[in-house]
Amino acid sequence: MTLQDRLDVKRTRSVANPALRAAYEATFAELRRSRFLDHALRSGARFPDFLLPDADGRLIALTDLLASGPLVVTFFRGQWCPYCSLTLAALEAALPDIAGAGGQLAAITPETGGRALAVKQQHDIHYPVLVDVDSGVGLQCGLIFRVPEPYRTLIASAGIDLPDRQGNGGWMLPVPAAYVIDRGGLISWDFLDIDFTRRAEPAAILQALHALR
Amino acid sequence: MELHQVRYFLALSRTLNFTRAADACNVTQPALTRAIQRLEDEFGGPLLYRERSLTQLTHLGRAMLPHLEAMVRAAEMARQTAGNAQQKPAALRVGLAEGLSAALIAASLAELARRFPGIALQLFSFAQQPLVESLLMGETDAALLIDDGDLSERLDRWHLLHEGCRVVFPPEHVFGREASVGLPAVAAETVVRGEGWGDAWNRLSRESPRLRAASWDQVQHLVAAGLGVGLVPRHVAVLPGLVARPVPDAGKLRAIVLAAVNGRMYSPALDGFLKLNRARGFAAIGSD
Repeated sequence: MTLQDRLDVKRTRSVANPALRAAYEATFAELRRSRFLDHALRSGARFPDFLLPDADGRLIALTDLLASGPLVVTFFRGQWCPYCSLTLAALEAALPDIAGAGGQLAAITPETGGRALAVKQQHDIHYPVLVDVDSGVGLQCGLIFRVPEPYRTLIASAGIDLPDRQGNGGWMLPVPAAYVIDRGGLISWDFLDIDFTRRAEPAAILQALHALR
Repeated sequence: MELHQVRYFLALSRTLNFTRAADACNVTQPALTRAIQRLEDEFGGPLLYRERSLTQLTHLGRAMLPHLEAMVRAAEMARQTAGNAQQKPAALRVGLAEGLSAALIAASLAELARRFPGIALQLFSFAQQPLVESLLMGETDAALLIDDGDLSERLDRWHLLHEGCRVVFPPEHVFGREASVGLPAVAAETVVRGEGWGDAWNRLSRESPRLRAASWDQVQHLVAAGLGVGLVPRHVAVLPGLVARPVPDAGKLRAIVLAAVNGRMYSPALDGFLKLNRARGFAAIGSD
């Protein structure tokens, strides 16, 4: 079963709820209409330098991670997102292969307040989970959008308080994105989608890493 | 949204003039106008009222402004900080409202010292009001404050934890045999009351306290002298020679926030300090 198979199972269950289905579709339609991904960072561009706290209370720079090999970066929405959980777990399972291909892996979330550590413990994750406080890195990558209605109200009514979780009241989220960054800091491969139920397949990431060797 | 769009919006919010904002951003006015229109499109409403002689932020524009400012700052700091981390010696001055233990932020300071070798770190402890003034004067970079609902509008603040309380007593006291102490057991003792107790005291006793002290230090000195036991917030540093145990049923005593002055430039060290403490969780240490 691929990651996308598991994501599809979850999606099918979620959209059985008509309100959720309508909210998903309105969000995707809006991001498609505004040609959101036209402005996102793509292969060939330089990934923005950063210094971000990780789940374990260390400040990690992009250059630290690149020092030991090319880097796979995946953006995720937060602890509350079931599609992100499936993706993070699939990446944990692929970690030995990523390391075998000489790569590093890091996940980035805008969630503050110890939630990165909670995610790490919940899924027994052995790669760094970085906290993009106020979404500064996501913004530089062109991945951040303001959650439109009715999805915003639906998230809030499920008890998911994004302003509290992010320590920022903008109601912003990243679109799903994964990058492979070569040791020189250039993006060699990208995965971007406006649909948060679609994620980069670990096998595709591995292939991109192998292409760098 | 794109970083440049948000930058244009921030410039507009400062100048309230499309021509001057375009100049400040080094773009043509039509380019700036288009970028703002796309941002408004994404946000689902106008950010500015455009009248012939008057440009003003709409309610949505005003509501979004602080969040967007924080995001642009984060984007700019990420770049700047990564480049500067190993270079010029950093400095950071952190204030703790009186009675807050430095143990709350010790790990983040150790991480800063690792990341910024040679950093000059200075800790202050003031009563809340002088500490706020010191922040506003630029003499303190960041502070841990008690959220009394009355903090200056000029401070950005982020909630860290709700703090429980502990009972402090001399080592020979029977409380030392238990891992925690119930509120009724505390109430059966002679309790030294500190200021700032409010409702928590009413849960403890209907009588007005016989022994009162102004600071948590004073409470503990009276306890050390054998006058009774003391109830203190969880993160007050316990005086040497005294023992402390949590009092879980005393409830949450106060909210602790991280604060810095809004609109001011952050040094890389300050940015790192704020991010480290916003990223981590304090809940586990808030209640024992």
